[in-house]
This record gives sequence, C-alpha cells and structure tokens, in this order.
Amino acid sequence: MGLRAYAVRRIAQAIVIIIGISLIGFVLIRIVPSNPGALWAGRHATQEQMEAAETELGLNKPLSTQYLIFAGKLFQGDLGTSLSTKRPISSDIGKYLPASLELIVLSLIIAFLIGVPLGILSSSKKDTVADHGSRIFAIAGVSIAGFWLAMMLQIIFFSKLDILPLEGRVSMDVIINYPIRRVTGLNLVDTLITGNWMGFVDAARHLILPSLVLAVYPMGMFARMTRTKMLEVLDEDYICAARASGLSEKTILFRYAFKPSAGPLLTILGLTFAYMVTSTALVEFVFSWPGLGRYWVSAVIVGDYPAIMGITLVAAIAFVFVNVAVDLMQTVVDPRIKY
Amino acid sequence: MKYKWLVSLGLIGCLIASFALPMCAPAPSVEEETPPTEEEAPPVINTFTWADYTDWTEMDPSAAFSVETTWISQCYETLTHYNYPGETPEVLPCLATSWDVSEDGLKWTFHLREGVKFHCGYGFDAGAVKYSIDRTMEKGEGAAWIWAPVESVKVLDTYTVEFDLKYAAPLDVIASSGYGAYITCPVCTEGKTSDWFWAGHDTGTGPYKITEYEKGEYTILERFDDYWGGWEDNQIDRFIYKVVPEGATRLKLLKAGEIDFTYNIARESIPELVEAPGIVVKSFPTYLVSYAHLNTQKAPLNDVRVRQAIAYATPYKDFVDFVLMGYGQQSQGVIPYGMLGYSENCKQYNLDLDKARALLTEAGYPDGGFTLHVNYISGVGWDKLVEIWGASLGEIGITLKATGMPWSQAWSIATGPLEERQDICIYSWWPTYIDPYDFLGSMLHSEEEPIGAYSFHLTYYKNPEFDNLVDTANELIGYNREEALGLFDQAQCILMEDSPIIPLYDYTRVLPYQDKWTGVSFNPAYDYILPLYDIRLVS
Repeated sequence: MGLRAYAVRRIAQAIVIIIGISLIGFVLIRIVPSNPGALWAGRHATQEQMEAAETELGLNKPLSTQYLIFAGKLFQGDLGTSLSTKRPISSDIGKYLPASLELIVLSLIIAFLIGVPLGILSSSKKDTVADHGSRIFAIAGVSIAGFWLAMMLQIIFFSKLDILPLEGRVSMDVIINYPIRRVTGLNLVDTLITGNWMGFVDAARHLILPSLVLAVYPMGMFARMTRTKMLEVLDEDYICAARASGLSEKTILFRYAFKPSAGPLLTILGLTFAYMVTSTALVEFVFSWPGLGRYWVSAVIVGDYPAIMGITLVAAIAFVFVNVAVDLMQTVVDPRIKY
Repeated sequence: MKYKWLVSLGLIGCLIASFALPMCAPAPSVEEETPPTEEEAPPVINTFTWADYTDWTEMDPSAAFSVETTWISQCYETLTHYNYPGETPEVLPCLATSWDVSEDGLKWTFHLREGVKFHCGYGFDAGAVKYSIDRTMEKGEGAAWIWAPVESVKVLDTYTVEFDLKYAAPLDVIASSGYGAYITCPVCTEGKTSDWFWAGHDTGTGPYKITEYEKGEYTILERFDDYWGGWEDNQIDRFIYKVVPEGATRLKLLKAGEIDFTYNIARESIPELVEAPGIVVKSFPTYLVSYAHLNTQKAPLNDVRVRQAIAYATPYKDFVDFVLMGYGQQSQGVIPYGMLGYSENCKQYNLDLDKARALLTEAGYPDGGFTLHVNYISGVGWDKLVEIWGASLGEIGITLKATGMPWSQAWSIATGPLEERQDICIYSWWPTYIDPYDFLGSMLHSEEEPIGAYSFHLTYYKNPEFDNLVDTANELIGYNREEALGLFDQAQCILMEDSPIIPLYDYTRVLPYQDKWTGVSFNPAYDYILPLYDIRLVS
C-alpha cells in the first residue's frame, strides 16, 4: 500500500476517533448531576442569576444543537470558556500544557536511559544477583505509590538535606530578580534561549524531584519489557552464530539482541507519554506544579463542562496522534514492517 | 558506528552532570536582594509570604464574590469597615470619614476622606463612589444584590455623596461588605475588559497594588507608596501569595521558614505546629457556622417533634472534639457567637437521647425505624461528621445515608423535582455583610417554588409569623437598631423551637505564622482576609 497511503488512512481514522471521543465525552459529562449555571454565577448566586447563566451558556438548547455549536466553535480554534474562571480554555491549556510536557518528556528520558540498560543488564546476567536486584527495582518502580514517593523525596532532599527545593517550577527569587521570558512555556528551553543562566539552574533544580517521581513507573516498565524481549531473543540461533563467529558480547547485546525490543519499547513509550498527559495530577498537587493533571482534576470536581471537554480533547488528540506517529516510526525501527 | 557505546555513555554522563550541577549550585533565596548600586545601600524589602490552595476566580472588584477577597481587600477599599467583635464603634470610617441617615432611613449621606489617591494616579472623590456603586449594580454580578435597596447615588459635592433608598436599609454596614462594595477609579476602569483585569491590573486605593500575577502559581502585591494611611519602616513592603495545593507541602514550607503564613491547615497538623520552634499558632472565632438543613416538606421531617428529636440526638461536643479537634464551639441559635443578633435567650439543644426517644415516640416512631438521606459538601472534612452523627442517630433507631458531593450538585438536587430532594443538606454559611437577616432571611425566609430564586433556603420552611418578624426587622435595622434586634431575637427563638435547621458548630480558625511578625489578627466579618497593613515585623 505504501507508507504515505497508510499514513493518510491512519490520520483520517484518528480524526474520526477524536470526533467520537468528543461526542461520548459531551454526553457523559451531562449524566453526572451538576449545575453549570450555578458554577458560572458563583457561590452566593440566586436562582435567577443561575438561570440567566444557563441561558447565556446555551444550556437550555437541545443536546444536538449544543454539540453542533461546540463543534463549530472548535473549528474556529475556540475551545470555550471555563465556567469557574470565565477564562478561555485555550489560554488555560496553553499555560498548563507546556508545564506538563516539560515534566513528562524529562521523566520519560530518565526512565528510558535508566530502565533500558537495566533491562539489558538483567537479561544478559540472568538469574544472578544483578538480575534479581534490577528485577526487584523494576517491580518496586511499577508498584510504588507516586505521591508517597514524592513526599518521601521532599522530606529527604528538602527537609533533611536542604539541597533541593520543595515545590513549584521556579523560586520566588528568580521570579522577582531573574524573570523568565516566556517563549515556549518550557522553562529549560526558554531560559537557554534568552540566556537566563540563573533561571535555567533554578528551573532544572525544581524539575529534578517531580520528574524522578514520574519516571519511576515507566522505568520499571521499560526494564521489564526490555528484559523479557531480550531473553526471548538471546536464545535464538543467530545469537549463537554471532557468538561463534567471535563478535564481542557488548556488540551482540546492544547491536543485535536489543534491536527487536526497539519496536515494542517505542510503542510503550508512545502510550506512556499519551497516558501521562493527564495522569500526573497527584504529583502536580504535591509539588505545586501548574500542569494539566491538576487542572483536569479541579475541573471534574466542580463540573466545569467546557474545561473538561477541552482537556479531554487535548488528551485524546495527544493519545491518538502519538499512536499514529509511533506506528509510523515502526517502519524505521523494523525494516521488515511494510505498510 | 563503532563507538556507539561511547556516545551513549557520554550522553548519560551529560544527563547526570546536568542534574548534579544544579544540585551543587547555591540555592537562591528570597532574602537575597538585588545587587547594591555604587551610590546607596540596598533598600530593605520586608516580604510576607502566604501559601494556600485557593486562587483568583474573578479579578473585577465589582464582580468578585469568592476567595479573591484575600487580594482585592488589599488593593481596593470600601467606604466603611466593620470592626472586630466586641469593639466600638461597630462601623469604622475608611474611605468615608463620617455619615448620617435621615429620620425615615431612606437617605444616607457619606462625607468622604480627602487626599486619597488611586494607584493609577487620579484622586478619589464622590464621583468615584457613584461610578463604582453604579457599575456594580449595573453589572449585577457577584454581590451586587447588596445594593438592591439603593434607588440612586447622588454626588452632592466633591467629597459628599448621597444614597437615596427605595426602602430602609443599614447602608453603613452594607458599604463595609467584603464583597461588592469596593471603590474603583472611574477613569482607569472605564472601558476595561475582563482580560485587562486578568492580566494583573488593579484600579484601587488600597495599601497594596498588584505587580505580578501568574494564574495557578502566584500573586505578588507591593506597597503603594502614596497610600493615605502612610507607612512605617517595619511594615510589609511586598506580599507574595503562592498557590500550593497540597496541605502537607504547605506544612513543610512553614516549618522550614520558607513561607510566613497559611490559612488552611489540616486540624491533625495543629499539635505539630504548636510544638514547632519559630511558629506562633493563634485561634480566632469566626462567623462561619455549619448547619444541617432539614427538609420540612418531607415526612417524617415535616413533624416538628421528629426534628426536635434529631436535634436532641446530635452529639455537638463530639463534633467539636473530633471534627474540629477542639477548635470550635457548639452553636447557640442560628446566628454565630459574637455576631450582631447573637442570642442566648432561645431554646438550646444538647445531646439527650432520652428526650429524643420520648419525642420520637410521641410522633409515632417509638423505635425510629426510618432512613434519612443526607447530602453534604465534599472536601470539607464532613465525612467524619456524618459518621459520628450517624452513630448517634443510630442509637434512637434512625439510619443516616450520607453522600458527599460538590456544591453545584447538591444545589441541583435541592432545587430539583420534589420527590428527588434530599432529607437533609449540610452546608456552611458566612455573612456577606454583618446583619442578622443575612442568616435568618437568606436561609430561612419562606419561598414559593421554584426554590432558590432569592435565597439559599434548603429547609423549605414556611412560617408566616417568622417571615413577618424578619421582614419587619429588616426594614427597621437601618435606623432603629434596637427594635430590629428585638424582632430578630423573637424570630430566632421561633426557629429554635421549630428546629427546621440544626446548627452543628461555630467554626474557629487556627492560623499559624512565623514569630517574626506581630499584629496578625483575624476579623470574622472578613473571611479569608489578613490585615496586611496592620502587620509589623517584631523589632
């Protein structure tokens, strides 16, 4: 069929899926009893004010009309207005998304760089102390409660050792004296671009603990996945042949035995990334990180329809397109795969 | 590539270095000032930091009606200011220096303070008052309803403004409200959109002005040098508010000395803070009361004896001890302790299971034998309360089925179809401005369906005698305080006898702060507000 045709077909499917998700989300939100008019009008509002709010928000119209209005606005890039803050959702998401992205990307890099070698080590030294040690480490990683680990690290590195900051993205000193000029919203990038060295160091220090906490789960997954896949491969004939022909163990491990794991690892990497876009709420709460997870949880709790829809869409788009991208990249990783 | 492993090692090395390096870098601290210039010594900036989980929900002073009063009350001011409980006079001058009311209570004249400047440079005068009140009323958002008695606002001269009322009302107290009574600069506010306010601008006369705002992260206020009250050296120059949603994190920040104050602390953490060196913990009574609103239109709660039985089976002391951890007290009457209208003349219920059983038997339920559905607002710590209450009621044979939910959901059910309404709703109340009607009228004045048009009435109580008393008192309180208070008292006693509402406890705030500060106090008339201007560094 050819790669291009396949890509086009997958993207078309992705759009259909996103439309479907938006429909389901739209209906699902309205099943939970809540009062968006009350939310918009405020805590001490009278029934009159709440009803006026409902009319203003178009909540009295039939569901299908409401959806069409929503879809129409979406094509113009208008994600709607938050019921609790009366701010455009797109500006809220534009603020919180880079913060989440910075955290997720960094934690996945850490997870990959530690988890994969751990898995390779584990598989090459099967049933030795090293193997058992890294397997325990990996299982601990996927089992540990994120928020508990977060608080433990805070106590160790802030309260007891006082070498890392407790929370936030940057310290007050930087905000006041070395303000970071926003270009992308990713602090590490922005500070480098604008030559703000104090800001860069500060942003990096604040990123260490939260990204470590978030990395622990994918780290464990990568380690286990790599180990499993490599064990399968290491028994194959061609590995035996490679050894017989005198290739070094290092070359065999990293060049030949590891390659087949790349495909599945890429898939998990994609899935984990997409999943993490909205699942970082607990870590964000503990570290006061202004990210999408926290925003989503707050929106769901108060029943802020447009905000929930906006974030659901963002998450859906991230999920679907990352999956498409990952599938397309499989052709690079594994030349046997042809579309 | 032959040396791929070398490259990978190099990359990992870079990564480790990029982590290790910043860890070794000196931690920036707020105490460091900007580098001194050659000419002068660096100015000392006294910074006060408050961390909490709330953030602005509205930045327009005419529409704000929530926790943003924390900051709005520092940047904007009102004509009058309500004094601390027990202090006289009841209402203090602020932007108005004196005021008088006509005999019939329909005309209020305020004499304004001279020499007051707005942050944007313009001078404060009667025109600004008229503009601000008119704007609030026109917008009709937030607490605009407090100005409902006002027919028109007239500028008599530069520093005199007159309010003509449709019906008598206590305008001096209304003008002191922490919501909806702020004065803004006409020139600087006119034509400004909501976006302009959200960008972090303010147009007030208050001691502090907004210099930085980052939604969900922080708000920074700095002192307004031309404030009419003047400044001394050891006052707060800069106020930093950080959004820190996790209570445990705030606790660590406080103990490490990185923040000076937080407003919301888990009750369980209080003993820890009391022990901690360098931290003062003070408790203050509030006008915040938690109530159980009983559905008087649904059996068996439509029988007054059943309601009274429940009131006798409520473990008030346990609520204070186990829900409030000792910081609070049992309510007496509907109006909180210390507030205008508080009365000790009325019937008081204390835990008395025998009386409860007797009343239930009289009502035809000798062993209880019915279930009550309770909706309560989640996230406030009432899970424990309903458990304790349920255990106590269980002893007289009543089963409690409690569901926690957000306010909007509870409201939606309470104002929905009659058959689906709750038996009991638990929510708290606090005043918008100090007036007994704010409690008695808003929560209990009878209303025709649809419920909720003018009030927060979730007991659906209909008593014409009670209505009459509070309505008359509401008219009188503007110019005949004493008689009005007498009528409110009578009305309250009727309520306590009929028991459509059970006050569960009066809430006490426990506020921790760094001991280097003094003057940290709390005025129950202004919830979520600290008197920043009054706080000083201990010398």
